[in-house]
Amino acid sequence: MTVALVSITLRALLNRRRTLLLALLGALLVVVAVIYRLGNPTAAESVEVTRRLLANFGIGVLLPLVAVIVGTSALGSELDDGTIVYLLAKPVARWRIVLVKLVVAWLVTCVLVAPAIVIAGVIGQEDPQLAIGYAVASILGALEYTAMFMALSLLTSRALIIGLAYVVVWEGVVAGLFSGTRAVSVRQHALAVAESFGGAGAGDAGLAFGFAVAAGAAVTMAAIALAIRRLETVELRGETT
Amino acid sequence: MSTLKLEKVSRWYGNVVAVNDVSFEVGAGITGLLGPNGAGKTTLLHMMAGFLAPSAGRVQLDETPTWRHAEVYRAIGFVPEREAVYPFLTARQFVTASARLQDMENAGAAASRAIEMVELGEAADRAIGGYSKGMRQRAKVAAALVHDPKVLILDEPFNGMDPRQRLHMMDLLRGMAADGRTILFSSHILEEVERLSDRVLVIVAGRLAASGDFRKIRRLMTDRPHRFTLRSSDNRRLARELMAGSEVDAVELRDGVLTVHTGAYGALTRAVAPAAQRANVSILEMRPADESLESVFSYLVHR
Amino acid sequence: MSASPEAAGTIYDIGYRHYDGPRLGRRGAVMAVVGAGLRAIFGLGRSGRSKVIPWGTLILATMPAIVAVAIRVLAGDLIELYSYDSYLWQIGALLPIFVAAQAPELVVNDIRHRVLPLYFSRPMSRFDYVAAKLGALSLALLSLTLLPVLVLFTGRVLAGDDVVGAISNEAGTLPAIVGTGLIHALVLASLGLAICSLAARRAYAAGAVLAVFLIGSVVGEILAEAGGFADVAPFLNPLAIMDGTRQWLFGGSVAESPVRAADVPLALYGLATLAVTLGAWAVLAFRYRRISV
Repeated sequence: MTVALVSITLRALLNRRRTLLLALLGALLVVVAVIYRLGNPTAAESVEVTRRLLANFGIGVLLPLVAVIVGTSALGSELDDGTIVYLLAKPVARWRIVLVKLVVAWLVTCVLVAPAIVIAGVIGQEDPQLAIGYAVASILGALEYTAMFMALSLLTSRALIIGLAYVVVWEGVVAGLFSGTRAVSVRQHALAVAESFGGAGAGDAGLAFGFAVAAGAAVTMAAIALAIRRLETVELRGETT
Repeated sequence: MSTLKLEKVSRWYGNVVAVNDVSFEVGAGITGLLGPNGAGKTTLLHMMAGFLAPSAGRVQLDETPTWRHAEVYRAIGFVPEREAVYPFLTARQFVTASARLQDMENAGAAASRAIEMVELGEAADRAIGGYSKGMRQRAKVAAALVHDPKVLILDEPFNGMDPRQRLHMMDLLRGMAADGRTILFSSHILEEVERLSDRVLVIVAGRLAASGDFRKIRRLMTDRPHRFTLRSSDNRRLARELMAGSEVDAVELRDGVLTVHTGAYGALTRAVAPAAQRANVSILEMRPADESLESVFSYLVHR
Repeated sequence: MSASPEAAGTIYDIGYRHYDGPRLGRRGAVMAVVGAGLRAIFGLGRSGRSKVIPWGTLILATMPAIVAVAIRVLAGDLIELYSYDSYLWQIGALLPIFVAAQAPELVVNDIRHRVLPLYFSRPMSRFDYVAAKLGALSLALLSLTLLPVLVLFTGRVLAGDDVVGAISNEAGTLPAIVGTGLIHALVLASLGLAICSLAARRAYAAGAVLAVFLIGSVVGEILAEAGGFADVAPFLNPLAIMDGTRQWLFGGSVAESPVRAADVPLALYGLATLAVTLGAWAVLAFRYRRISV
């Protein structure tokens, strides 16, 4: 039954036009890296600029944008148009639906983000470890983000808008201004991971690695628990009410 | 054989009561849930299918509450009213996926069988997005019965079907009922329920207005003050002849139309033809003047 | 020859009235769409939830001006918190949020729910429709791009001991304030509306608008620090392009703006602004000419 669940979710997520646009977003990251490298920067400078590119664009923009769209529609679009009834009317435990859909959404997000980060990282400077560090960060960040956005899509029908607002306002502005809020910022969790895996040039500005992983795991678990709880008690009223 | 049982079930949304203190049992055979739009049919069906929690009372399938028990779906097939089906899947993929989600060993074969049953054959490998309403409806039914459920719940299954498809679907449901299955469907069209079901539940404004054998209810519904309009070759003579009998309470002649008031529906319909014959009048047209379902229901409720 | 009433057919007078008053015509239709657009943008007559973002951003955008004025009144002109030149750059992050949240309200659902025929069956052309929506969004944006700076201006004038002298001192800045506000509003409205007109759903439209501004500013910022690209960087960020245009027309630089790091003639920013606006209008023209109703 997992196979059927995966294939339905994948086919719904990989809507051609949307996937193409999201892939283009990743390609843009690579293009910027290429353009930058064509300018023949010095080695030390290229590490710093590539780091900023991966951190601010890769982890800061590309990852949350892809994750918010994929994460909110993996379950949310079916809740929206009522097709969720065909999944719920089956002897499948609700937690299983949530977990399978989350894994699919996570993997789709990873496929759209991580390769772009690796390629841009390798093109932008010499050290592959930096690229790998940020790719690992994007993969862990993708899990946290998709879990959060999936839970959000079960709480409100305007999850995408609210998710976007969250990405821009909280992750983009608030967590930048008030360092105390960094403890609960997905972006900062991911950056801490990147700094720990990314070698010498990966910088170190944010949270301690251990704390970031623990906080990220806690947020992810809470989001999953919330999503399961919501799907277990979701009520389908039919069209007229 | 499975039994769906509702005990003192109510459901409200905020301060709107959608279903009000309803109790009944549905066993093997076809049961029609009849009611005007907005009467609470969908709410009731969704509670029976376990998609809505009753605000009060209990909904059980063979002693298991349907709400929050995913295992009941091994025994239940549900066809929702809402049209949306995954537009990017073909009917075959959709039905096969339903079979897989039911943990069936041979999902492909089961899907083929179900598609065969609803006569979707040649269209089964096209994407559902391009289907007509009737085809979509059949794809939904195929997905609901692919695991051969003991209970089949259908919300307005005949919407959007053409007459031929409608007849075929009725045959299909009758066949399944004959195998001892429990089938419950909702409709706001009296004639559909009349032709298909032995047993009806009439729901009006969230309350159960009538339940039981269809013919008895039909009589209760029809033995009420009734009006017919008649056109004939000689209205005046026909009126005189009809007034002579006891079936007619009053007649009215106006603008070439004869209106007859009666308290005995059946007796009148039987008396008209002999009366016309005695009076040597040919009847051109006879039709009930107030046969809308709403008027029937309002009579039932205010009785 | 007499016909029975049924055969002849009868129309009963049940009190329908023909409207024979004056008609407002094309102008009235356009004004109505502008008015409805403004109500939609600010969530007037809608639930409280749809007022949060427009009024929230408006308040956040005006707050610095009010604080600055308050400080000036209480503490005199000891410190200068905000200048007219840098104000819009400081509240820059709010502008894309406002556009992303409210521009989709104007156009997306008209296309999605196929109600455009209802507009075009009035004395209103496709051009009028787009112009009216653009007008509504531009007017709404003026409340962010002009109003706060005017508050600052008024505060400064009134806070002085010598009001007449203050007016003559400050009046010279008015053309720059108004001009900057108008340019920002019109360019942002054009760009936002063009992006939204292509999206299938409001949420996607919002995402696309945010993506354009976010990516532009992030990539621009990174490239600005990489040697050799400082000249290109500001042209990736619509807000920087407009800041450059402001400097070209009215002077006065902003420390944080990538325009400062770039070494290109300021007139190029004006050209870029023109190109962005005309490009957006071309997208709108293409989209609304092609759409079948």
